[in-house]
Amino acid sequence: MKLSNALLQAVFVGMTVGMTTSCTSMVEEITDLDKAHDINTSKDACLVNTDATKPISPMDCPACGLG
Amino acid sequence: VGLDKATEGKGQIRSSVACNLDRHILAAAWPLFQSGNIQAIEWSFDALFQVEQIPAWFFDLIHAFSEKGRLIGHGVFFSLFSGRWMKDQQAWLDQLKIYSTQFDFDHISEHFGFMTGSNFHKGAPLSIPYNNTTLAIGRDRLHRISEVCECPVGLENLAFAYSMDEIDRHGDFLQKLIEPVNGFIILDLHNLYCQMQNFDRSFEDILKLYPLDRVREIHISGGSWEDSKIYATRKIRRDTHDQAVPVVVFELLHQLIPKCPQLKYVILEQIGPSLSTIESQAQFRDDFIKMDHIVRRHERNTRHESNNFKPIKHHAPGLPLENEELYTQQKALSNILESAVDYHHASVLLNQSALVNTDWNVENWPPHMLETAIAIAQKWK
Repeated sequence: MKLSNALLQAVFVGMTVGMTTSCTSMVEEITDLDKAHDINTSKDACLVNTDATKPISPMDCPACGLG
Repeated sequence: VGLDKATEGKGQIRSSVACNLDRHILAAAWPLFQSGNIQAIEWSFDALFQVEQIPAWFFDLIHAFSEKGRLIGHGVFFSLFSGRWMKDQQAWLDQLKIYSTQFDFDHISEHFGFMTGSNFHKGAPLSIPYNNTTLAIGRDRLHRISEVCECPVGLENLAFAYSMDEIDRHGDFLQKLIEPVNGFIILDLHNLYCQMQNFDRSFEDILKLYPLDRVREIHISGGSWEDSKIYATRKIRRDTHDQAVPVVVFELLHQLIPKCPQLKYVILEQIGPSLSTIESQAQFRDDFIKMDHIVRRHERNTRHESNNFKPIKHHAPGLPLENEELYTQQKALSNILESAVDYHHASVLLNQSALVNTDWNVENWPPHMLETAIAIAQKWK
């Protein structure tokens, strides 16, 4: 399924910078999606970094039973 | 522009990824989003408990797939078979109801089992005895999920089994659970692969035990091997979701798709922490392309939408079913598995517990699987 460039840009900024409230202005700065990966992704995301002792990614859950 | 709900091919099987608010998963999947290869996403909607507000960009991503009827929800923490109804389960339902007004889920699924652990968002799912008590509780919970989401609901097969007998009965029990709500089954191929390896069973042998006409979704993933401390030569296959998909699992997918006439989604799963390098992200995309290639080879001759799995309307559920004896047994088992220093210790504790001479059948659990249950429970307590 094709996504709009605007959405792809927003997701890219969100996942790399992890900003939840001020993505909009940064999204506008990315004009070439093919070069999007050149953007510095070293900034630590503020997505879900609450528990350093356990991975808390949703997919890091044991839910399938033998995790 | 992607196909919309009205025009999309009815026979299409959707190659999809488990997509959550995890930057490594998103980074791995982003080029696939960009190229339009991802046909749908599966979102674990209950895993955002540590996030006060869904970031707008992630909300928009979910919403984009929702608008096209290509969003499916996959619960993690509901703990379907808890003997006691918990306030967190009601909160889970309340949250699902809210999400169901915000998003158009094509279906909602949960995992089989009850969760060990000290609170609602910790622990590991373990199996339960297959008897009338657990059947009634499972049906009651599925009914409640169906009531709030008002879309098809399903259950995923569990990778872990205490015993061979459980493997023989799992498919049949799943079918009995979902029948009253016209539900579906997620068949996780890596889970079946674990059972093949851990119990020396063939794929064909296990497949005969499942109602394949109820399979609407297939999962594939990778896993890992763990050495048994009891048997020097024994290795346990675990569904850790932290590696590339094994070649054999792709081969199982190739064999399985033609046998599942209602199949609509095939999902690639991998955990975020295992996707932190450029190489692992590239491997994830390679796995997706391989999966999609297999799906595309089969879809034209496979899917017939004779069952849309729309939930059967029942009267509104009354008070939740509970069983205090089951709850006590679950609590005892969780405590033993989480606290035992090794298999021998756990074995002694089990033989002194309320689980002896019950439908749990603890007397017949093979040592290597009790050892594995301890490892899982202690990893996630």
